[in-house]
Amino acid sequence: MARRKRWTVLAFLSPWLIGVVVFVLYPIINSLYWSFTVKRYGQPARWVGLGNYRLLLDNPDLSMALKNTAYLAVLGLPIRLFIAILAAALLARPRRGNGAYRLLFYVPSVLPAVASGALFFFLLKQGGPVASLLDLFGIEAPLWFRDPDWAKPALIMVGTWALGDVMLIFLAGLVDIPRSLYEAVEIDGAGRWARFRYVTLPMISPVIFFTILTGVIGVLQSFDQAFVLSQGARKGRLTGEPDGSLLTYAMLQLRYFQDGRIGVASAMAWVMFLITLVITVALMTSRKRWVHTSTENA
Amino acid sequence: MSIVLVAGCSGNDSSGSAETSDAGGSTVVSAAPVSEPADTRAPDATTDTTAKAEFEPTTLTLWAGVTDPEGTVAFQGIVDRCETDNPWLTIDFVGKDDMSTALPAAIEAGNPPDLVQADFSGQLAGIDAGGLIEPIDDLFARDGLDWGAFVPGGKELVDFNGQHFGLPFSLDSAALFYNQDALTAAGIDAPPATFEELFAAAEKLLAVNADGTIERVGFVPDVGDGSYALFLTRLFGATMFSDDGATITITDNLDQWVAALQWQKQFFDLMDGDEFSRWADGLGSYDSADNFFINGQLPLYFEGSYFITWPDRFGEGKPENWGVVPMPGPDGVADADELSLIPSGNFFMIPTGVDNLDASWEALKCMALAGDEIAAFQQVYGNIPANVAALDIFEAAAVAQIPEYQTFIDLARSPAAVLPDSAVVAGALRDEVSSLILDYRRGDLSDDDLRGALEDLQARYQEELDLELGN
Repeated sequence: MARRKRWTVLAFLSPWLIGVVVFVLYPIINSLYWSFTVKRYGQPARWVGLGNYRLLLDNPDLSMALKNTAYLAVLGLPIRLFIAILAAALLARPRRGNGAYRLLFYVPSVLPAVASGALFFFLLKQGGPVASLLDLFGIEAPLWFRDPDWAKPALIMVGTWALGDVMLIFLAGLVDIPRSLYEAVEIDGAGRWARFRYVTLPMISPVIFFTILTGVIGVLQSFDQAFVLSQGARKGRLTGEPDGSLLTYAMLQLRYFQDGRIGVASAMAWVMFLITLVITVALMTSRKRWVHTSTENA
Repeated sequence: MSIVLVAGCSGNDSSGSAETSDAGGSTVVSAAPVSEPADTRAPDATTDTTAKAEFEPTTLTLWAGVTDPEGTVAFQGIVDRCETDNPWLTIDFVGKDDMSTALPAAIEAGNPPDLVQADFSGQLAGIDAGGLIEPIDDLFARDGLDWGAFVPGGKELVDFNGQHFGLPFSLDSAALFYNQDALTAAGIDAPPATFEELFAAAEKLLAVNADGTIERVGFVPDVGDGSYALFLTRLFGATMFSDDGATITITDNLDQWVAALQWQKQFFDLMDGDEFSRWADGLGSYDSADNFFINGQLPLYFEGSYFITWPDRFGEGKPENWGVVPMPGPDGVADADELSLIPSGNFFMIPTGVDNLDASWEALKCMALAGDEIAAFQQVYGNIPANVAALDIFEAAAVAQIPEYQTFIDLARSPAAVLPDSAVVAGALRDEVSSLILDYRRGDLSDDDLRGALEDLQARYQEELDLELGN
């Protein structure tokens, strides 16, 4: 009877199981295998052991792409989250026109990253609206995406503009905090900072954790805006060269895909997976120390 | 499917084939001889150069890199012609702008289109290594075709390591566009014909404002990404790969590479690097009246034939007086017969794994050898037809309209065409050399460093190439 029940359960689960095996597990295992091979479209894979990984380590562009990606994660992400929390805190307060403000903040995140990249490219170029505006005040506009000192900060600025999705998550977290908690600390004489420090921050810490985790993963995969703003993978290497280059890890990976070298591109995917795994484990480990959970609350 | 017999797909209405026999109720037609020299044939001679077959009614899917409305209509004209000439044939034409990813994926999945038209110039090594496209040499010989039906650069376009991976469709020969009004204003009577004249013109045309900002740049090998700069090294004979794509040849002609890059750098040394970046950053949209050649910001510009349509399409008559001359080389302007730079081109090809190779081949021949329709299509894009019959028609029509086409046509007919070389690591290496060119141009690399950097690239990429090829 138990065996029959087990088969029934499996039968009901089978659409999902088949989907996972075919569309998730198989590609993952396949890409791991391909990372140890020379593989091209239309040809069987040929085993080369660690050859692709050695090749990657010899590529000086790899360290540049990793550094750029880390820069965007370490500097860009905190700025984005800070501004998103600030915006959410302002918009959480009931006031007239709040709906319109929320909409204004959210709309940029609806735009595809490619479109927002193209928009900023037009806005920030020499002779463009921003440069013309600065010129009115006698200020020379920087070469946003060509000057090494400006290229990556400009990219962070463009990324921060579209923070509506993160802001919305924070907004939901803030609105969800019970009023009674604020009333309790106010009775204890807490001021504005103490309310934020001892109520707001702990209560939205799971949201902060979630946005950091997804944000880091998103930055590690960042491609589209840097690609558009540097007008292509090669220019990504060239833009703001050398230190301000916009070449991200995913853009470097495209270089191998363009040549149809699936083996090396797969090796790059696994290197990035390992990096992501280490960061995720580190974040998960630190979670207990600073993220407030309902279990702890209980 | 039954192949009944052979004869031609007409590029026009005349048949030119001789009815000779009858087999099972089907008319049997023999192909006319194809060894007649191409340049002596009348424009409608394509009729005689191909073999016609009769099949069961067949529908073929054609993927073409043509997606804009005007081009689609013109391309449909080629399709219609082949359907008319081959009543058994129906072609489903699908415009594709993601060909480089979609096609390999379709082949890998075992579901390729029956025919493809695309620009895979410089990528044949990868196509060969992946076995993505059918070499057509056996079919070509079987049907007694003659490469004389195509310009030499067309044959070169589809050739990798002695095999041919399709039939050529168009060539984008490249030359030097000049703005005569700007030259005259700078006291230059004629477009430059030597390197010395080109450099002198670049110096005279450079216009710097009182505040140091650049108003106009005379000439630069490219306006920023290093891609044309890379191809212009071929003027010095600098090659990147051996013919079989198995060896990086940079260090074999290191002196040519260094000479080519030194020549390029002198144009940038005329200007302050930051100000040049500022100038380049402020350039208007390429596909608009703000294009730097149209609005006079760059009066000397090395570009492919397609750009000939730009002044009319986007410039609204600007610049008023412009022309085209072959790009000067180290020894002056080479005769088109001696050197012709062709950075890219399009061709028709048959993916591996198609259901009906013979039917695909018949359709491929018909499309690649169409006359009037190819000529009409290329007038939309400004590329040069690769088949001689279409080119003759194109020449008569296009030059009458825009005389500057003649330079590109002469270059396309050249027996000394220089096309991008190819290897399975070509894309990545080109990217890195382009980056290196910019490093050197900015002064980040000395002449000695340049040699070392090129040697490092050679060593690293030869290792990658060996890994890819299993050597």
